[in-house]
Amino acid sequence: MSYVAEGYNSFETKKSPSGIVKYLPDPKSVIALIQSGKLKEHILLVQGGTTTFLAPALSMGAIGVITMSGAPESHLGILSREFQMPCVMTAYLTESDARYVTGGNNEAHFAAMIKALDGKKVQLHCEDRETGRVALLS
Amino acid sequence: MTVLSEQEFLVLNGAHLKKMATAKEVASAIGLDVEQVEVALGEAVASGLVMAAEGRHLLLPEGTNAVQEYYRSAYEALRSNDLVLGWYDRFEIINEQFIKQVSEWQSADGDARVQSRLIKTVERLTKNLQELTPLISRYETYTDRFNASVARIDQGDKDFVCKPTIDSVHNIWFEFHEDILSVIGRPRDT
Repeated sequence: MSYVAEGYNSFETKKSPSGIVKYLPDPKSVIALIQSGKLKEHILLVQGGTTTFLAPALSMGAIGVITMSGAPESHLGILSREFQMPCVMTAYLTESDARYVTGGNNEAHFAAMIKALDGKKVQLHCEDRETGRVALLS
Repeated sequence: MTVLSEQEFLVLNGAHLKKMATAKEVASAIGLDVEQVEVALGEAVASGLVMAAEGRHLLLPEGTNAVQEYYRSAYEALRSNDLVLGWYDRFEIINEQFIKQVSEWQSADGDARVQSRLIKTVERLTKNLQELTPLISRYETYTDRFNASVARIDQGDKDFVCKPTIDSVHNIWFEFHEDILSVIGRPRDT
């Protein structure tokens, strides 16, 4: 299987949720997704590991998350393990050399990630201890 | 822009920090009667500040703006207060320590020694909070909540370390962190 992206794995799990990637840039987008009743159809893509506005989505049963920055030791990492929700953190595109740089200007990297993943059907693979992977389904 | 009374702020801030909370959870967190909180949340839903779903409440953008405006107005003087800013700098250090300890506790299957260190960090925060309560009296509720949850852990109920659906120490810490950042007017980036 080929993987479009990979990153730190928040925790080892055999769960491999699949869904359409939905980029959530702000609290408003999280509220709209919850109100749509389609939360569980999506893998959520967010920028940070401390994205507090994502908490309501976790409480309401989000099935999987991809972050573009942040570590498994962040609040979001802790919550993903408690909710047993697969979470790939500080993900990068496997066919690109661009990586998240702490304190750097990551705008182009984030934009490329969003362009490559938002709206695509993917499956998360988080059975490895260190690395979480994102497979493109369509 | 909706201008909130102190009680409206307490209720909406409780819902803002807890995210998708029931009236009972908000009431317990802020130390008000459930009936008062139910009325305040009902009014906030009617005026478009809050959405309700399955008995839980989440602030809409208008509600978040009103809460942040209250913070700006009520705590303006504290945003340049050296005692408060110095306190926050010290908090960041123990915050990093706490987050690492919770992650370690999770990966060590609730190891007793890790848990003991983690509880000491919580107790350090509650002790330090005494420096802020003369300036922000509502912070006493955080101390009470931390103490109650630590007591449950001491009784053997490990869920009170970081289970997200109860008043675990990680949840209280998470809420407090967002609260103090709003008081001093800084975005959350750590």
